[in-house]
Parts: sequence; structure tokens; C-alpha cells
Amino acid sequence: MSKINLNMLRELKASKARFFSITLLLALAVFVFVGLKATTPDMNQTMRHEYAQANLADAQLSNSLGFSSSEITDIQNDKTVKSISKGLQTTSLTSDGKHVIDIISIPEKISKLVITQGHQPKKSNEIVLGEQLKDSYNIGQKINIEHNDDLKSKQFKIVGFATSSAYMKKNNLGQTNLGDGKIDAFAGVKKSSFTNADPNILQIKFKNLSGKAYQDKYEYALRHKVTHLQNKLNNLSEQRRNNLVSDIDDKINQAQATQTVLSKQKALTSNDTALQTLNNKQAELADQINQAETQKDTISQLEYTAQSRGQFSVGYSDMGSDAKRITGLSNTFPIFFFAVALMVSFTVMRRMVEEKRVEIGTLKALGYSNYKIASEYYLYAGLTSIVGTIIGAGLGLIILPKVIFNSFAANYVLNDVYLTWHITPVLVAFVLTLLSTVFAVFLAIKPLLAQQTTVIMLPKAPTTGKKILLEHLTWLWNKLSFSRKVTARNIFRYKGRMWMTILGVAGSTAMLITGFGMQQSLNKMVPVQYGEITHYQLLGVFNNKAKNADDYGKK
Amino acid sequence: MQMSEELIRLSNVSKIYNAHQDNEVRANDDLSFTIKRGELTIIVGSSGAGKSTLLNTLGGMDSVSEGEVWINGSDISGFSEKQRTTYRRQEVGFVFQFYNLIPNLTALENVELANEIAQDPIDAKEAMKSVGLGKRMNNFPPQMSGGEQQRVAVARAIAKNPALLLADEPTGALDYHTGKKILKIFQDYVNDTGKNVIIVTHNSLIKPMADHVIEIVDGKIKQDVFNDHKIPVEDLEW
Ligand SMILES: Nc1ncnc2c1ncn2[C@@H]1O[C@H](COP(=O)(O)OP(=O)(O)OP(=O)(O)O)[C@@H](O)[C@H]1O
Ligand SMILES: [Mg+2]
Repeated sequence: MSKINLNMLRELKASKARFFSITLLLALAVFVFVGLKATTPDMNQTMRHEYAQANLADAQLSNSLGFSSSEITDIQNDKTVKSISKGLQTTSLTSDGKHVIDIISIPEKISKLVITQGHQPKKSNEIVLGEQLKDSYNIGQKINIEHNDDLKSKQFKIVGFATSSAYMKKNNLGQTNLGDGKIDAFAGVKKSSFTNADPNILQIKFKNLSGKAYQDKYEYALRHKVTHLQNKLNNLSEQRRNNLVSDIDDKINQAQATQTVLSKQKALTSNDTALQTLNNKQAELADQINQAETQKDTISQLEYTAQSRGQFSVGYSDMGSDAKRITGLSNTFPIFFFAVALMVSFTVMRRMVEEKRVEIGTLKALGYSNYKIASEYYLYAGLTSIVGTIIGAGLGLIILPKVIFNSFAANYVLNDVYLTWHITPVLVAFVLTLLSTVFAVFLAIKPLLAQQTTVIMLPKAPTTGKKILLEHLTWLWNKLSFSRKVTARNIFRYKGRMWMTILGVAGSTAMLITGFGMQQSLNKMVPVQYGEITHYQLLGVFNNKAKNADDYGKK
Repeated sequence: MQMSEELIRLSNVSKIYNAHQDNEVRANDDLSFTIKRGELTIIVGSSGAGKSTLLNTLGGMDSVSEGEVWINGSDISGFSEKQRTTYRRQEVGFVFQFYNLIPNLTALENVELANEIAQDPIDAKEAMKSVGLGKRMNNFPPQMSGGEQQRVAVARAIAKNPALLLADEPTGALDYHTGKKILKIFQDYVNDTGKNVIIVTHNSLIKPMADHVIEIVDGKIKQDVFNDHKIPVEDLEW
């Protein structure tokens, strides 16, 4: 090893503390920056993986009566639709009243379940439960549900657990009018477990949807196509309603006609028993007419809905906006860290060059070129920057996305975060660290080396101390001890150092205050929201289509 | 290339510090002299006379304010920084007045630092032995006495085997005997290699060992004389 390199190596060993403190400071800044920058894409990527694995539908169509086969054909032939998968869905309360469960027929191609334990149901009395219920039930156990018209059985055997991209949250999977009003979990059964044959759920994959989940391109195009489908569904539902209503009207008309006939018969009859029979028949018909009228009301409310991922998948939008929030954070937070790290390393690097002034002069006098001398210092500076970036970026790419994702995913049933490599933030961070080390050395060493060798070999003449304001307050100045006086003078003698210190303290204080401020205001939020703003315990909603008290509970 | 007999020619060289200011110093004032090849030259003068300033000029370490500095056929006062670096590396060995050893390198490594970049260097260990430090080669400068450090500085200059060996007060920190040993090394260097050595000193008693003595007072040349019969260092007394 050449001796000039050896010298730098020894310098590095002798100033280990300096080297590592700068390196770690840079690493910390890089860690925060790269980590936050990586988190958003990593979170999105993780979710996309999840969706790809499940082949999550782009849209989901539903109606409470089920789609007729002609309607399905119609939808299938729509120019935007690529593929379609038919399914059944119902909501049930467990017999113990503890859980409200969305029970679906297990889809085969679109919005698939991922079996995490056990196996798919093979018989119509078997069921897989969502991971939400993992702590409440075991495989092999039986689960009892309250009577449900849509299902053939009230008891199922648990054969496995599963996750679904349509039900990612751990609780509160949507609203219902069963139990406490919240859906707690989902479960999958075979299609044959359902009584009705018409699918009430259609999973849709669209043609020509470019872009990925959470990308504006995809989300806009999706919204557009869902609106298109909704329009189509509106037409279909109107036809359906009209058909149903005219059927019922026919029945009512028929009944009314019969009623009239019966009334006439009654007028002609004098036999008591015959009269009684006719009266009974008439009452029965009146009942039927009444029922038909209510049915018409229900039918008038029949809607076909088309939902995009953000609407039918519980958690899809939340995860997207959580990830987006980190982007905002990543644009502000690292600035503080970098500002402090850059300032400190900048100062330290410059001072190192100044301290080595005489040595640099000696090397120059011995015949070493400016380039050779400077490159030793660039190497030192570059090394702090490279090591700092490697440590910071390494940890940042791994730890921060993981920690943040896990904290957001705490309320979700999800796989582990999917980490990827992000070159741009790492490069940006590296350039910034180079700026604070190599560029600092450049700024210090360039003018130094431009001077005459003899000048460099002499220690720098110190800046002369000036009289400071405090000295004019003679009574106070005279009371200060000697070391205090020196300190007071030096503060103004080395202005650069003074500002660095002030800015450093200011920056650190700002960060501390920000941290505590955030904590305090977040802690206050819940008590203020539910103590001072929202006072009510129960919410009532007026159903303006209801005609009497019994109708009230109906949808 | 034709080798002229003369190695160095200074004409009207001045070095002015803080020019046109209240504290202007004419450290070298209108110096002119020539030095022949193979000469042992001694520059004497009292403290502050301008000896180091002159030596720095000759060593290509500082610019001059006025005049020309011809060395080996080129005017180094007009050299670019790059040319001067090459000149310092290839032609000059310098013993600095304040030694200027690198504290992070051992004595031997300090010598190697210089001879690594020289064209035709002497073995660093041999150089260390010649100054009587064969046993202290692995010591770091802060672990050595002032005189020992000065001898390392001498070894470092000699190890480059330079055409021009410049020594600024090379015996300033040395006792009589050690000092003599060092002076003998310089004299032998001239005698054995036919190269040039210039020694700066305030001790006029060593003048007899030189071929050529230049005396400086207040930045000006007071005397410029040649010794026809120089005395071997062994016979010198002070
Ligand atoms: N960088 C400088 N700025 C201003 N004046 C200087 C500078 N360097 C040297 N001088 C002045 O130039 C004069 C000559 O200095 P020089 O170092 O050449 O003296 P010298 O003969 O080597 O003295 P000594 O025997 O004490 O080493 C001195 O008066 C000194 O104060
Ligand atoms: Mg001197």
C-alpha cells in the first residue's frame, strides 16, 4: 500500500469516533428518507400481490333477487366485460349471536379465496371460515347459524380457514341489519349449499384495463367502466321491475275480477254456509291483494348495483390511502434529518481538512500532486457517504416499510409486506450524502491547495477576536471568570460554528416538539370527538317509504 | 543535452510579503547569484534574514515577487503549479526547518513516503541507518525526540536521491557530535554523487566545510564567496 494511502487509513483508524458518528448520522437520514420513499410502493406492491393471487374482480354486481340467465348473458356480452363469475351470497347470524357472517359460494376463477389452513369444502354441509374467526373456532368443529332461507342447512362442519381480498379487515366488514349491525367475518361454502339457484353476485373482470391497482390510470378507467355497467344495470333493473310489477298487477286484476264475481255470487246466495265460504274466499283474496301491493313496494325498491373494488372490497381503499399518506410524510420528514446530517458532516469534513492543513502542505512540498492529495480526502469523505448510504438504505428498504406496513395492517388479514428494491431514492440519498461530504471536502481543499506550498505549511493565522457588546457592560464583564470571558468571545469569533450550533439545536428541538405535538394532538382526538362533538349513543334513520311500523325494519 | 556548469542562477529576485500594506516585509530583496553543479553551498544569516524564504524559492515551494529563478536551464518562477509539483518531486529533497513529519506514519514510512514518488531513490532503511536511526525505524514521530525527528527529516530528503538537496537548519536541534555526523552526510553526498546541497544556517562556524558561502542580511546579499579549500567536516570545530 502506498504510504499516502496508509496515512489516510491510519487517520481513519485514529478518528474512528468521528468517522462512525458522521456515517451513522448520514445513515439515519438515508434510513428515514429511503425507508419512507420505499414504503408507499412496497405497500402498494404488497396489496397488488394479494389481488393478483386472488385474481380480485375489477367490479362486483349484485341484486337481492338474483340475476336471471338472460340478464347474465346480456352482461357477459357487454363490450367492456372480459370474464364473469357467478356467485351467491347471504348474511347470517351464528346461533350463539356472537358473530355476523357473510357467507359466499366459493368463487373458482375470480376473487378467489386463499386457503390458509385445512381444505376447500367438499360437501354442501362443509364450510371454510375467514381468518377473522380463527381465534373463535377450530377445524373439525361444527358451526351453527340461525335459520336462513338462502341456505339448505343450519349447521356446517368447519374444514378450513381462508383469506379473501374482498374481506381484508379483521373486523367491521360492513353493515347489516343482523346482530349488532356489523359484519364480523366471511365464510365460504359450496354453491350447492345454497337453496336458490340464481346468482345474486357477479364478479367482473374488464377488458383493456391497463395500469395497476392504486395507479390513477387504473382507478380512473375502472370508475369509468363501472359507471358504464351501472347504467346498463339500471336498464335491466327497470325492465325487471316493470315485468314483476305487471305480473303482480295481472294477479291483482285477476283477484279483483274474482272479487267482483264473488260479490255477485254473494248477492245471489242465501245459503248461510255457502255465504260463509264466499266470505272466507273474499277475505283470502283481499289478503292476497294486500300482499301483492306490499310486494310491489318491495319490487319498486329493487336495485342492481355495480361496485368497483373500492366499494365491494373492505379495506381496498383504506390501504391505498394509507400508503398515499406515507408519500406525504416522505416529502417532509426526511428534510429535517437530512438538514441536520448534512450540516454536521459538512462542518466536520471542512474542519478535518483545516486540521490537516500543515500535513497537506508537507505532502505538497514532497512533490505529491494536488489531485493525489485531494483524492485521499475525497476517499475518506466518499467512504462515509458510501457506508452511510449502504447502512441507511439497507435498513431503510427493509425495516421501515415492514414496520409501517405492519402498523397499518394490524387491522387487516394480510400476508407479509412484499419488499422491493428502489433505486431512485437510494441514488438521491447517495447524491445528498456525497454533497455533504465530498463536496464539503472539495470546498475546503480546493482553495487550500491553490495556495503556495509554504503558506499551507504554516498554521492558519487565527481570526482576531473583536470586542463584543458584553464587554461594554463593564460591571457584568468584570464579574465573569476568565474561562467565561473566553467562551463569550469565542462565540462571536467563530461565527460559522455559532450558527451551526444554533441551527443544530433548533432543528433537534423542532423535531422533538413535532414528535410530542403529534402524540398529544392524536391522544386528544378521540376524547374530543366522542366526548365533546358526538354526544349521542344511538342513531335513528327515517325510512320515508315505510307505510306502517312493521315495514320499518325492512330495507 | 548540453550540461552547463551552472545549476542555479538567480537574477534580481525579491520576495515581498504584504506588498503595499503597512506591514510590508521585503524578506528577499533583489538577490542575484549563481551556483555551480556539484557544489556544497551554505547560506548564512541571522534569524529573520530571509534564509528560509530563499530556500523555499529554490525548492519550488513559493512564488517570487520579482526576478527570475533559473534552475537547470528553466526559469521556475514561471512554472505552472503542475510543473512545480513535478520539479519538487523529481529534483528536490527538502529538510524542513520544522521537520514536518507525518504523525500517523512511522519514521521509516515517512522516509518511504518521499522516496516512493522519487525517480531514483535510495533504500529507505539505508537512509535511516545513515542518520543513525537504524533502531528507531518503527517509532512514530511523536514518540521521538526533537533531534531524532530532525534526523528522520534528513533521511527523508536524502532517500529521494535528489539533484538538489535543500536543508533548512538541519542541525538546529542536534548536539555537537550528532550535528557533525549529519553535516558529514551532506558533504559526502556532494563528494560521492556530484550533486548539489544547499544548507541554511545561522551558525557561521560551519562555513569552512562549504564550496560556496552566501551571507544574507536583511534580505540582501552581504557576501558571496567561494572556498577554494573546503575542510572535511571531521576537522571542523565549533
Ligand atoms: N508568510 C509571511 N508573511 C509575512 N511575513 C513573513 C512571512 N514569512 C516570513 N516572513 C518574514 O520574512 C522575513 C524572513 O523570514 P525567513 O523565515 O526567511 O527568515 P529566516 O532567515 O529563515 O529566519 P530564521 O533563522 O529565524 O528561520 C521575516 O522577517 C519574517 O517575519
Ligand atoms: Mg528559517
